[in-house]
Amino acid sequence: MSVKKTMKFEEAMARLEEIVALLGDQATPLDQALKLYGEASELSAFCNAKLGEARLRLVTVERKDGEDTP
Amino acid sequence: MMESLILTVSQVNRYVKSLLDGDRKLAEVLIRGEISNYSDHYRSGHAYFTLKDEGSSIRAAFFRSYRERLPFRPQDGMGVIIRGQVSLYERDGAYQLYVWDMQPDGVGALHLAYEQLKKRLAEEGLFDPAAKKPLPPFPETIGVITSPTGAVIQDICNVIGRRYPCAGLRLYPASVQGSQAAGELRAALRQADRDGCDLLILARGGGSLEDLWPFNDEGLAREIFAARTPIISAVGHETDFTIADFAADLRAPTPSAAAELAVPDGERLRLTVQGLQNAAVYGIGQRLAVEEQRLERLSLERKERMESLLKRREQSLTLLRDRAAALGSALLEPKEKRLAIAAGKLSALNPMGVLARGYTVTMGEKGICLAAGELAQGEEIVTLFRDGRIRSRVTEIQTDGGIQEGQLKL
Repeated sequence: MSVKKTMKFEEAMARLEEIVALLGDQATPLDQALKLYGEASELSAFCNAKLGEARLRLVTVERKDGEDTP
Repeated sequence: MMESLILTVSQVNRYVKSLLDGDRKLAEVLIRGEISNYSDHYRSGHAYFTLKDEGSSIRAAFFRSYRERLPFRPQDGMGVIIRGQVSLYERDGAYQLYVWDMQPDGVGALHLAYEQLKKRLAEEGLFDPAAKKPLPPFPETIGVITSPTGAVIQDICNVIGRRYPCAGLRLYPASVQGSQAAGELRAALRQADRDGCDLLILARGGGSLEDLWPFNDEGLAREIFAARTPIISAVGHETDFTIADFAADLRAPTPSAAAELAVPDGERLRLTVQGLQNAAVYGIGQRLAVEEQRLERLSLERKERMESLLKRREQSLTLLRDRAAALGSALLEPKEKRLAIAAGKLSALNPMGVLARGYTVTMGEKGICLAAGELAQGEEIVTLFRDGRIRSRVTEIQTDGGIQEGQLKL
């Protein structure tokens, strides 16, 4: 599983938590643990980048009239 | 004369009706009473009931056009104050009260309507806690259904901009008061739900009960209940509870509070991410340390194994060398003896040894002379001694038998 730009923040956080658990598990093979560690670095970079977006985006959605007239 | 006074039933009824209708007091009356025998005529939309007090009763008709304007539903036993007209229904000759409007006696009509709707929808399960959808922990797109003007959208932008600016806000504008409001709110909600937002906020600032009334709309409550997207409602002030609040997945006391509830605290989240990253670093570090130790232990074991192997090899090598040495000397010994014997023999054969014992060697002109007969008269001979030689000449040769064993004959 690689870190994609389209990934949701929620998924990234969940995966990061999962990896931390796997890294703490001695049953995880060493080469896999090293790969997971690389992934964790990417994920936290991704999360930090998301959180670093400083400006709130606001769009006003055009109203579709005539759908519900009282 | 009597005949001219005979009237038809219709004439009487019409006359009485005209009397009643002509009475200014009866043309518009306010009557307090209790509703009984209330019956809806679903086909026509009219309703009929009896209004009574302790001693009397009056028939009442409540026509559809008036009924539709009433926010609450009249029920048997309900104390009401009715505004209307007293007139006569000609067909039955029954005088009755034509209801234009009614107020619950004691409480406000809107309040009663609200209580009734709340009870009804609650019984239907629209406010069921089990039906509440969980809010997404990290919403990326948040739809806000509220007035495009006013402080509410501004407050929400401020809070979310401060706490979690990575979220995107979509404003779905709708009137939040007046007769159009309920319809617009329903339409905006439905559109927002279809747009795939992660979370919706339905919000309005404070106002009177009448101002907030669109949020007590039954249709809106049903839209909220049916929506796939989780909805936070924040209508009015902290003390205001609307039907929309009950139907929503979460009620916030104010629009700002809704914004707080909608998004996580970005700063804390950053710390959480940092914490997870640290945990990952720690995890892999621990793991590597464990592997290192294992490797060390393994190489130590191997070293020890190698050493003991070497020692064993060395021992066997020494053993082999000793055995080889032993074997070698065993082979050499007899040869040395033979050599000594041979050397002894050799020295015994040495002619110089003979000379040492007193013998001499005589050499004639033809070399070593072993017999006297080999020499000639006058021949020069050389005699070898232990310590030198002499030269002499043969003057006489006797060959009379030579030396016998044990005696020397000269």
